[in-house]
Amino acid sequence: MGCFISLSFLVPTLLKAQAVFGEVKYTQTNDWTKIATALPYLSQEEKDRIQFSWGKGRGYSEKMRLLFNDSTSYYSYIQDDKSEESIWSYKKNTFEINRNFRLNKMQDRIGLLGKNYLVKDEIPKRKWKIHNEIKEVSGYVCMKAETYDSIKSQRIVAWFTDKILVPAGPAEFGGLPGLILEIDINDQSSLITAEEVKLNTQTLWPKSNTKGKAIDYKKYQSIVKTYIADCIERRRNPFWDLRY
Amino acid sequence: MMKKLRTIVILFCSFNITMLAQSSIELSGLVTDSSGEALSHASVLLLDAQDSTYISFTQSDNSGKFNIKEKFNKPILIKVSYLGFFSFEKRFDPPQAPRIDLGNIQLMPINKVLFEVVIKEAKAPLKMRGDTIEYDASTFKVPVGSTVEDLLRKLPGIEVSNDGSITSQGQSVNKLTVDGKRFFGEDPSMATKNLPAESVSKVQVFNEKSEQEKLTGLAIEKEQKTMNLELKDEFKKGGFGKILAGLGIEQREDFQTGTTQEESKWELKGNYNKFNKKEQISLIGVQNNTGRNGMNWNDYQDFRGQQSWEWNFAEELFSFSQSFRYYVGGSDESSDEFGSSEGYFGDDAAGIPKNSQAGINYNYDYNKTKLSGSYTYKQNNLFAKAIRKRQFFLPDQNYLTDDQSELDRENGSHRAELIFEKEIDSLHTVLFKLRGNGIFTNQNSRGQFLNLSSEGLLTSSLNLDRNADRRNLGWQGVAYFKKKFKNKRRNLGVNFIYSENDRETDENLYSNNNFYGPGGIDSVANFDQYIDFNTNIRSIKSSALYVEPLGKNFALQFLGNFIQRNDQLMRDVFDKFSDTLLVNEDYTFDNDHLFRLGKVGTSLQYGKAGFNISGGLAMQSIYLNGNFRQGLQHFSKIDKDYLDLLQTISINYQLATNKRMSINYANNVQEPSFKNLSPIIDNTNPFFIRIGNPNLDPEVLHQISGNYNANNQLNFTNYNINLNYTYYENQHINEQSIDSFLVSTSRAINYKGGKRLGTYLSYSFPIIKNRLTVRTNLNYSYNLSKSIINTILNDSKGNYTGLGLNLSWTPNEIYSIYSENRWNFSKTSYSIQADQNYTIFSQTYNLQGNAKLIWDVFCNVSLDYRFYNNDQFNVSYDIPIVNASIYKLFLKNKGLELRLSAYDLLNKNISIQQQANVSQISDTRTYSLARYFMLSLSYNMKGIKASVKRSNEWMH
Repeated sequence: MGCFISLSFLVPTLLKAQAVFGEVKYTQTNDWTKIATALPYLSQEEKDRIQFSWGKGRGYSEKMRLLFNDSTSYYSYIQDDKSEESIWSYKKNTFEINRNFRLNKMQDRIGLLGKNYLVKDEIPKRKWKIHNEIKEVSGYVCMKAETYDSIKSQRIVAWFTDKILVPAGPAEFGGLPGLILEIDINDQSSLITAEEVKLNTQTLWPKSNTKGKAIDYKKYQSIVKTYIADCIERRRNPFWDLRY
Repeated sequence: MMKKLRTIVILFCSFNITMLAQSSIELSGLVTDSSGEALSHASVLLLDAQDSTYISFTQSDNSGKFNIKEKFNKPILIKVSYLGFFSFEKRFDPPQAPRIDLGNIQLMPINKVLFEVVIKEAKAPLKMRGDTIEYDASTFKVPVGSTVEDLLRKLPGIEVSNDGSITSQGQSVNKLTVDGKRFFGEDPSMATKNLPAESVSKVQVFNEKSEQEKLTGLAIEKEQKTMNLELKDEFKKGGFGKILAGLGIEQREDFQTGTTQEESKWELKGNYNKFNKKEQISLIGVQNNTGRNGMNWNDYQDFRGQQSWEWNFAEELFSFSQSFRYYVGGSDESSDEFGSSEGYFGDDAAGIPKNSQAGINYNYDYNKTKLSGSYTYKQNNLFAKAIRKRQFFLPDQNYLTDDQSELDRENGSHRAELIFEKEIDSLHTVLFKLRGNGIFTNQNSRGQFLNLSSEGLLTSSLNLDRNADRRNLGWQGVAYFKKKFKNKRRNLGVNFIYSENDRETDENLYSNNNFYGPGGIDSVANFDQYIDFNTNIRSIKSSALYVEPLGKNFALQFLGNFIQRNDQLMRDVFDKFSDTLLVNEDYTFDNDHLFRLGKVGTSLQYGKAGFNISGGLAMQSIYLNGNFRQGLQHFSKIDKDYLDLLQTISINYQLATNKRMSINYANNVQEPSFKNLSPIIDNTNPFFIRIGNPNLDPEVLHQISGNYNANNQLNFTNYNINLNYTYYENQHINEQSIDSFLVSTSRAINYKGGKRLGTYLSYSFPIIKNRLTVRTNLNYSYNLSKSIINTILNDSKGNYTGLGLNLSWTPNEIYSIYSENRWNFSKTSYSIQADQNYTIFSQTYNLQGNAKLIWDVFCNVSLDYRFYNNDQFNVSYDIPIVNASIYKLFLKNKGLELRLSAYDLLNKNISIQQQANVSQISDTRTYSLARYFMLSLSYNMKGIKASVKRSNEWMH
């Protein structure tokens, strides 16, 4: 890895000469205390109690992987039926993000509330604001961009590098002038960070799977929106079932 | 390559179709460093000048030139950035000319030393926001006790001279702020020499006028720098608490004498918690004579803080079913109580209680070290008065009992706990616990117990008066070690638990027994005794578990358990005579027990795609050794060992993320208790004599269970099915013989064939989403238990069916109604004396309504109606209980509440307990709290969010 870093710093032109493709391993860590204390229906005392008694170390992290080339990207679990620590197998919600930014098409397979959907549409546009800040993530100097998701009420900060000129990123994020290496949702309620960036390594892409009820992006959003509204009314945390 | 780039550029441009039809403008320029050297591949971004929204993008070519075309009609910002250089920004208002040449854009380099730190460190120790450099203090290690100055010396690009003056990248820092505020005047060294390094989370260095410079578009390095120290969250504290006080009056009528008495009722409760990211401290105090408003789960969480969610894994002996762990809070009391007499007085709500509790808890969690200490004192006093009627069925005769008794108990307990947990490194964790308790009880009981024949003639009577003082002291030490390996699925855990418990009971007992014949009293037996009963229990438990992964989907577990327990029970009974005490040979005993268990086993586990199966085998060896002495002369011994093979199979399958099923099988071998083995005769209760059976073998049983659960989140529907079945290959059953004086003598023997079956189904679904929800459940169970009464085998069969129906109606924020209803039907039949078969039908209806009136006034009413019918006993009753309260919230945050409550408005409360088993049915009525009214005031520091809806969704 050190090799790539010095390459990218000292001889950036060398990289540019080749086609861009590679693989990024991300870790997504959710801080359940922060997620729960942001729920609108809780009283201040209930929020304090959660913070007081759940304490630190209630984070849950998951290893994810992004495959990309200069026109498409694929993002999913590294292992979809287990955690790293145990042989115990369980079913995770399907989460296969398939994007073709050359054709501006998405074909995401998403397990949502017990059902698998195939979300086929044009890639949704996010309104990114670019900030005048830089930070290093996994050996790359990244620029900061920010957007807001009004359905999940999330302030999303992305750190992208213009050294990998692919408008891809982890989870459903992308559309920036460079690969997103870190996503920070609602002040680290969830943090997706690149742990390892491998450029120009050939990885076997998974076979395209199109099982699931086909819907468009608007329908997908409306399912999420309705569920969140229902949960808030029931005084229940929607993110026990929804991906944060 | 350029072609590829161009496509990307075009793509980016195409993302923005929101622009209205505007004329296209071409921007061009040349990017160089300060020496004029061309910079190729510099990023050129076009942003909306108002909010920096990203519009489009290009890169400079090999000669440093760029050219970008965009349609826009509002101010835009052009931003040019290049690795290792400060970025360039310039704002444009909608220009008139179709072409703008920005000319030569010279980028200023960032100090090389700094930049290498950015690049080379794995974790980001610093980041740059414009021209602000921000260091993450936690990534620079300084010794404990260091000052901020020591920390600054570690920061790349910063130098601290001997006199404390600071320079950043060669320029002097002449202003220092803490959390943006000035710290003790102008001299920066005032703060850096005095503040501890560990209090700082971030160090920021910037030019003071940077904001102003932003507007001009160019960042010009200035001669003077400002440094800001941002403090850690630990220094930002939180706290919450509440207090409640209530006063009321109760009028109670004695159901035996009919006299009425008035009594005042009170409730006091308060708690306070203060915490920061590192430490938590909490205090709680409770006092009441209503048995209500004690500690609930929320209070427990508030009190224990972070500790309330810690697993008690360290104290468990490892077993194969590690996945079935769950938390059970605050139930450590029962083992210390007077088991036998407690059951007699019904559940805890029965009787007139008086409770006090006070506690303090401290938790510390920092730097992979956790420390927790807590102390609580509890005083539970109870006065209870009860009448009990029982009916006994024997092969050759039936009889009745009619009992009255009173209990007066004072119980005080002290508990303290200390926990220390340290993560030595990422692979090793140790945990130590030390616990102690002291429980002091004084109990007075008096009663009259009558035995009657089935015709209602008195056969014997007993008058009892006991006064017992008990002192219980115990402590426990736990050590736990956990090792992880590089392969994260390989694991090792070892624990060691030592406990010791000392109990001393001093008792004065007076009993007067009369036996009646056809012509009156036949014989009399009186006891006036002093009893000194001491028990000492010491145990060592240790277990180890090692998990070895085999490939991606298999794992092998190895398990070892060891338990050794020594019990010493010394009971000295003396008969009191006018001037002397004489040892009572019948009741005095001195027993020593040794129990030793060793278990080694292995299991294989397989898991893939939501399917898990595991099978385990273990060898279990049990050794029992008992020395018994009765009176002064009778000695006996038992010496037993058993070797058994234990098997377990468990299958778990997750059909989908929201559907899962499981099937489990295990056999279990339960050693006989020393009480059942001991050859000594226990005639503590002269009507129920127990003798031991030295030839008793262990119980052997097979258990199989299955579960299916489906949860549809889209329409909020949930199904659950549970089945479990137990078969006794060898069971301990009661062999009982009853003589004509109705004195029963019983012992345990081995017998085959007892079984139990239980099923449970539940289904919940909304009729109107989020408004009307139905929860139903149905359970059925069957059991076959055997006993031998006067040499005849009695099969007793029980059939229990229950149906529950709960409704919640939550139409709006104005009112809500909840209804919980239950119907239970049970049928018991016997193979001997089938005329004693009986059925019980009970119904419970509960209705609760909450409403919001005007001016922050709320009210709630609950009605609880119970019907009970027993055909054999010919008993039926119905009890309606109505509680109501009305309350108003005050203050802006609704933190102050004034409440008027009425409990048991219809004055019907009486605690009734009915029980039935193989050969008896009993009905106990206990004198309980009657109707009372209470006015209470409570204050919650953080305010509340009042709602008519229940907030019972688990973990929010």
